[in-house]
Amino acid sequence: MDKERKPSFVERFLQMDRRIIYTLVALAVAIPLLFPMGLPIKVTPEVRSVYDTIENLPAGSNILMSVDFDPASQPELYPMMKSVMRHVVRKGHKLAITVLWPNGVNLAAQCIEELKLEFPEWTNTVDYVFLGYQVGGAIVIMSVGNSFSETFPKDYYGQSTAGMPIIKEFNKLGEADYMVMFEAGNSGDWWIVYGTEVHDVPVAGGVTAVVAPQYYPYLQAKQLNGIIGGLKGAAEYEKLTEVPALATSAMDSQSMVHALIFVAIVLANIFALMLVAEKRRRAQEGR
Amino acid sequence: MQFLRKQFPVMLAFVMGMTMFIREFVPAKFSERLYYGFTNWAIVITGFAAVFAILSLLHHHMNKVRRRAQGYGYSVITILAFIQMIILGLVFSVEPRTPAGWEYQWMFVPMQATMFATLAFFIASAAFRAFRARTWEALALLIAGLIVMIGRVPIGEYISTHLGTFADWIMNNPNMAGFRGIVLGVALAQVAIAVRIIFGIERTYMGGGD
Amino acid sequence: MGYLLKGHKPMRNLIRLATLIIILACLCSLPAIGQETGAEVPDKPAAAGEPGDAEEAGPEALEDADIVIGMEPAGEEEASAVEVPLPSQVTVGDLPNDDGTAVYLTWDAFPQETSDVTYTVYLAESRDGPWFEAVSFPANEEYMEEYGHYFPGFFWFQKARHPKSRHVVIVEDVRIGEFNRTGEEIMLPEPVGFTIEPNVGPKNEDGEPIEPGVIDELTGEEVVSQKFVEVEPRKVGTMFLKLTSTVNGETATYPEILEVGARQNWFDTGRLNVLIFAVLFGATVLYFIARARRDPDLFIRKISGLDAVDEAIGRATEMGKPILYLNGMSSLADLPTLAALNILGRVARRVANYESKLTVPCRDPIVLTVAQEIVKAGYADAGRPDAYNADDIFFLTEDQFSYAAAVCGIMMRDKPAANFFMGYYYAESLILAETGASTGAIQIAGTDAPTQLPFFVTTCDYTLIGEELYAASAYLSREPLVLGSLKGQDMAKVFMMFMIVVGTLLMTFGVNFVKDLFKALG
Repeated sequence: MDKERKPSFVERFLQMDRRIIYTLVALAVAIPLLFPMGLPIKVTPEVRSVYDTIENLPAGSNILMSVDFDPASQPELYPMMKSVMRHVVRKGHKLAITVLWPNGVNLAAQCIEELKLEFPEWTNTVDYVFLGYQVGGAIVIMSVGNSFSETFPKDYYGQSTAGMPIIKEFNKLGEADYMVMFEAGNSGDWWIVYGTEVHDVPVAGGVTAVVAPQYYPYLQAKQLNGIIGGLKGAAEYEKLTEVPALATSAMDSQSMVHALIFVAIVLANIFALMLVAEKRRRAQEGR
Repeated sequence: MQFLRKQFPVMLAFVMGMTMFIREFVPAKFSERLYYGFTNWAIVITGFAAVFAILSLLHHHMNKVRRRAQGYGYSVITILAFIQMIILGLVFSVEPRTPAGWEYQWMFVPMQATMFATLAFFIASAAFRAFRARTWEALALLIAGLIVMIGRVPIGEYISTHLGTFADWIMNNPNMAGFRGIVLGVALAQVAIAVRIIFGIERTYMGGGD
Repeated sequence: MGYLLKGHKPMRNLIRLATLIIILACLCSLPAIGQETGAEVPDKPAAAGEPGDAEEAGPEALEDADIVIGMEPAGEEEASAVEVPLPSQVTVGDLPNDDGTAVYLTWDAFPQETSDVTYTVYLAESRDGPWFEAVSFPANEEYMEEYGHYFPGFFWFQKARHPKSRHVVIVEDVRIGEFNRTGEEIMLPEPVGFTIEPNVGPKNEDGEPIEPGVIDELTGEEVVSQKFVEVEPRKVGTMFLKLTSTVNGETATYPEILEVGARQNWFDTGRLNVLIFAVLFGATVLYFIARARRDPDLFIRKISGLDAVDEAIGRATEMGKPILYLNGMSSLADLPTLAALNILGRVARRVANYESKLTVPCRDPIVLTVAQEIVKAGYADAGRPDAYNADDIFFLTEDQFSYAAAVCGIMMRDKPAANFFMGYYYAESLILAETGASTGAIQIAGTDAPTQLPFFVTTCDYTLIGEELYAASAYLSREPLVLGSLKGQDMAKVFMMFMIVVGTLLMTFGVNFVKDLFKALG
């Protein structure tokens, strides 16, 4: 760049201070939350597949959920976990919950507490068992293939799991009729490899938007039964269960941020092209 | 000592690697017992490793404080936070509505969410700075990226119902083809590295190299 | 029916009597019923979970029962009288490829079977019973095709030729028993082959077994144990099986009681294809390693990210700033971490040569100990063991975003001149790389996490994509043995590409069995 020359508008735009972009993002998130627009939500087949499977299983079927995320992914995954769990409770299925990420334990506990307020008759040790966290990641999945009560001798609340009524019917991964795992990383791969492939239990993934593309090949290979991807997926599930909640209300914000980034990329490219043209013009003038 | 540091780990890796490989093809009860026995061992060893982590953490930060290194104040905060969390957890347990639970709910969760949320800002800034159509291939990528980005949120549906369909097509076809290519290559490379480790050809991971 | 009967003996007997009268009435009014089969049929055999019934309806009921086979469609009054298909071509055997806990039973399927017909298999320890229901399912389910793992020969070569031609059921250890919470009213005396141990642990005032030391939050008393009896599953050995089919309450029984022994197997033929491919691949890699020993001059294409390693270390040395090396977010059990540690070994040696400072913050405690060993050995190999400082390789936290925050803090405070991001990463990748970019460091990333690649490609100077991460160790060391394994890996890739093309063509022309050959049945 010519040092004596004052930078043109195009140049100044392209070297915009990051903080301006950050401010715009903050506004794009906050304004739609304060003034909702109610944009339409279309349900995708991969989310419907999860809903349909839970809906069509006979009441009392065994469902395993794994909470493999931590508070960082809470805004994205918590709404979908709650929505799916609510659906499972509403249908009267038996539910076992494991946690592979240590900081996910309290999130799962919180979700259970909130649902207990909605469904007071939902009984611990009979309708559900919250197995809590066990160290080991993939090894835990291999181990629950043998037995829940051996891998998790005590549940989250400190009760011995061995004698629980639910454990009598549902004591290992292979006895599950369906699995839904909530993933912020690649532990979903382990559930597919060591869970569904070994024990032949269909599995669905509730995943953050950033890791969702990683799971699409599994969907086509029918190793995954469905994907609930990010906040959008959660909003779709809320629409299907007809209980609009957090995810639905955040959809407008997400749309706005996507639109903002869209505009930023398009403008940055147009201005970059203009800069090239400008440089060429200056070079010609200089000659 | 040399044997314990060099030969023994290689032998152990070979024996364990081959045992677990052969076990995959043996359906007998013994095989299952072996498998779950090893997985239980692994869980126990992983649990013990936490001790190393705690020792390293404390050693590192105490050293910093002792040397009054730059930013040692953060180290003091780390050590204090570590100790108080252990005490609260041991005294009141860690369930919701206990002091540790309160810290988790109202300090840890928001701080974590904040870190994750910075992604939105970084993505916007990185996209603005770096996502440029400098070549025709980059232009194709750019257009595909824009369609997926806008087509997978409600505003895309609002603009045109075809946008969502097209975004899904991009995700399910070109995107998946690329992913598969990478995943297959990685899988083969992983098997090759496993063979190298089992046969003791690759030993850098044990320290000491070749 | 079984549900109605549970726990009400007088009612149960009444209903049983009524059922018998109805069946007798049917017998008298229909001429077709005279057909003989000579087999025993359980009248209303005990359903699973109702051992009390099993006891009473046991051998006597079996002997008294009547056979209703090939019944003509009845008039309007006898709506229940329908034709009951009798299973044919029944074979039984030890279940192959299992751990010795199961046997199988197969028989010919009728065309267009519907869920109106129910097949039930009963299991006994001896020829005389007592009989327990082992498996029951509608006739349009449970075909050989669904059990490819156990019958690979059929699955690979006959599946397409005989679709849904045979039924198969697998009879495993059955866990049976119905008990009350305290174990007092066990309705079934100990079945043969099963051991029932009453709970002999501590009990509360009401005689209920309790979990010692576990207090119920609501009542403040010790929690009543759910564990009242231990039921040991049946010991494996000889089993006796009986097969029936039922339509609208009418039952026909296969005339023979089938005897079979279960034993454990030592090779899973369902995984033969996996074994063949694994051995072939391993052999190819080992062959090329052996060849590399003879001819060490192997070609490996240029990987610019790795060529830049020296440049990055040199630049850091010139600027007098540290080098930051991350091993990724996964544990030592994951191969990307091992690959990252391999590269760390090479980098450490060069850093020691240049006399720069190497900082390695770790997320996993086991990775931490290994990384310390590797760097120490790297410095020793370079002849600079004194320059090694264990404090430079340290544990931060296991938590993902706390780790990301801490690393960003290090980047902002120490301003390293070179950042290496090797191994597996999650959503924090962009936070790390974007912060590193803002400090002006030269950045080299290498990951096989496909979702994070776009972020690294955008924000780093060089990125090792997917398998390049695994090739890095060979590339940096130029050791013939390791390079040889890369060659073997490439050969496997060529084979895979060939099979994808051939397989796609074959399947396009309707030859589907090739797909099954590559299916991991287990």
